[in-house]
Amino acid sequence: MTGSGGSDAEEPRTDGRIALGDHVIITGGGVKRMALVQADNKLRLGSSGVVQLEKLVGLRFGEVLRYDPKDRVLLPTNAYPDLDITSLQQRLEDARDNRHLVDDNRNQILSNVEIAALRQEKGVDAFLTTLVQKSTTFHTKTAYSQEKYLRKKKKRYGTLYKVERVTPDAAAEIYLPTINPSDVEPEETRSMRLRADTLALILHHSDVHSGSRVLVYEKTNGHLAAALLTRLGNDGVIMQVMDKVAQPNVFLAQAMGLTRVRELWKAIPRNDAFLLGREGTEEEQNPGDEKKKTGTGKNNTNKGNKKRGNGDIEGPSQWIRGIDARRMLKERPADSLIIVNDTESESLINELLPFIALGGHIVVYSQFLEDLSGAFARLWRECVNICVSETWYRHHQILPNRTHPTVNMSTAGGYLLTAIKTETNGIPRPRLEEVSKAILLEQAKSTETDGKMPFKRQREEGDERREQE
Amino acid sequence: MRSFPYLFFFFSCVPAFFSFWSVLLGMLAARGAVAKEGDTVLLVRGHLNLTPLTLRPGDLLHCKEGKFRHDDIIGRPLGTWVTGQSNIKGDTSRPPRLLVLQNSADLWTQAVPHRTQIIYDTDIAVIIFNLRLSPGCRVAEAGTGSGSLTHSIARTVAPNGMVYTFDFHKGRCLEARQEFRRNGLPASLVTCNWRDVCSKSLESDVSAGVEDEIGEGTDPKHGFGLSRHHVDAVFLDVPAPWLAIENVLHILRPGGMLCTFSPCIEQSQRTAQRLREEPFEFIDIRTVEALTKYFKPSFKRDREEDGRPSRPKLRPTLVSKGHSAYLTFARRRLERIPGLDDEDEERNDVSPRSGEEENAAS
Repeated sequence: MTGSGGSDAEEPRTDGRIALGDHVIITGGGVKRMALVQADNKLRLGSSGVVQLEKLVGLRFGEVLRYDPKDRVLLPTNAYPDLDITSLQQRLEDARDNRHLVDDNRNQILSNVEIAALRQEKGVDAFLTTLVQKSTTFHTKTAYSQEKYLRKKKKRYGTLYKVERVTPDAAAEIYLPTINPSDVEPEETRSMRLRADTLALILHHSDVHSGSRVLVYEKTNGHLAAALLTRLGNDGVIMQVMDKVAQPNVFLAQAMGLTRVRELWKAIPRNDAFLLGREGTEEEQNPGDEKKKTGTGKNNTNKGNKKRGNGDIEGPSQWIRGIDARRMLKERPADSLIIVNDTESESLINELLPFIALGGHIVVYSQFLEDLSGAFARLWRECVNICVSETWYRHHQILPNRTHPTVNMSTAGGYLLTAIKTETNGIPRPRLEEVSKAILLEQAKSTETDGKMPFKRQREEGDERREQE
Repeated sequence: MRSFPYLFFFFSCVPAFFSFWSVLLGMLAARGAVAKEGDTVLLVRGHLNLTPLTLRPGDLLHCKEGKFRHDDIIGRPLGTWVTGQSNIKGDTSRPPRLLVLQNSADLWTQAVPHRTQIIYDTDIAVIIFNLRLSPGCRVAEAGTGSGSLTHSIARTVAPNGMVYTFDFHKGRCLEARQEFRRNGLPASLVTCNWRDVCSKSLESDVSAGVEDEIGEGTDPKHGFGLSRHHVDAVFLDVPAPWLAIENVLHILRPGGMLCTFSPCIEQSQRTAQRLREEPFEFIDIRTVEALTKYFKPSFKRDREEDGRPSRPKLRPTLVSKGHSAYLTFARRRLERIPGLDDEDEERNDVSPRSGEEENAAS
């Protein structure tokens, strides 16, 4: 715990330094990449060239770097790395416009060959100055247009980059960009991609914090589990239900530098032993053994990527037997249930809802709104506060006299269903008409039409009495 | 033979969970807790309509739904229905029931008594995610307001983190303190102080983690009152966040994240302009807007359908929020490296100075 004396004595915390085997995120020149710092590992930095990643060892996470094209290394610098500093603060009375501007492809006097040669011998600023001098139309443009021209050239030819630790928000931005979204479908993979704000909402509505016990079914290839682990800290547990052919992918969790991944993140086979409590010795042990062997093989193949080397193999197994997981969850139900699925989730909810405690948070994500209506129908008798929503997430360019939303925004947020599990409503399951009536009554309660309440309540209670007879 | 390791794992986990369970109470307790005296629980009055209730033995809740005794709630698991008495004398119909929920940070956002305009779920989620909060982080927040965001931040940084929240309104500060204690957030996790963080701090550093006695003065203290580079993240929901940047630079560690919450675009412009001033202490400056569109179920049956539909259709609600605020995020860059030659440094301010010279020449 943080006492007042202790907190004063504590030294300010820093992000630490890059070590061999760490993963980093490099941003700059319109590129945002995740890379492994390892001997003989190279990364292409857009059009600037290739960099040796091993040379990053010893630098601070969060550093600003300059690319040295001669030695192909990134060196620390005190320069400002972003492209949003402007000298055009006041409103400009600019008489220039583009009424006489002609696009005849001869405005830049230098040829491509000459430009390539100049890049080798000149620094970036001198190079850009030459480009401006050799442009026949630069001086006829407005000041804003000139600044935009320079910013574009700076982005392409700039040599400044930022190196950071892998965090959930940076990884989500790499996975599904929102600042410069692309309409090109990612290459065919079986994993789902969660936008940054969708991932944020899943973490918020599932109420994940230190000590939480989270039951998860996800198809994001470990991205959601890694983000959940950052919220657990050193306490709590993630129990991920795995299909028959699935394996937990701990790559991103380890790329974030998380420790104790296998202790806090457990995999449960989705088998009869877990779901029904049926314990057949043969059936129970064989799948576990196979998965364990496959997991071990995976560990061996990825050995070079792990900082702890053999520690992972010797550590606790990430798998729990289905019958053991069932017993654990029966004794202490989970605090949250998170389902990220690209098909219908009703069967999953049927299987997993009994393992959730009263007051537990339920979050179901789907890329399709149609899939959530089945989940809604399944949950509405046992849950309250059932909400289905989608999010609109938009970036803004904030510059003097040029402030507006960015032209393109990501519309791949998907849909979320959130609910709170409660004691089952004691009233027997009604017929369709009563369902509609109950919904109407619920809506009436939400509004302030007091005049209608006694009449509606009276009728419903009468119906209930009739049912009991 | 094979079951032995799992059994060992199982036994080794139980004490940890049990000890944790008894340490944290209130909204940070495990789900399915039993209601106790002094707990703040949430009553479900309708869809997304929750009201808080502090349990006191012997008390009677008298509301529109009926009369409910606190003693009928205390000792029972939360998330269950409680039966009461009707308000109508001699009413022989079914007794009224009320659903009692366990408190949590995201539900508290719906149940919080409003002393100010509050921050809602979508913005809260985006703020916590982009500030990179996790257990153990230290966060400074101003102003406290109704405490909607404070509860979510405290939930995220617990149990070893720290939330320093400030409000320049004395009454709001006092009410927020009591509310945090009632919700099970101790002073070792959340401190609320009466301060104006936009005023230049004149005093030397104050001990962190202490809730000052609020005296009879008419003006709040100045600044954050925290030591240098003390916090990992700063959140500002104040009318003029650009005035607080100087104080933020004192308390925010290099590499830490800053977020400002501004309804008007002019506020975001002034904030971004201030963040970009020399000596360029902030990078990755970006402004986002997050809005939520809700769907509601419709159980109407199509005319041609014979059987009953197995699932409802979902259509948008008639009204959704069109705007809440612009969120401006920035990262404080690391401390400068001494000895690097600054004269040769590449300036990324895209200045049209060259163009001007060319124009003058021509």
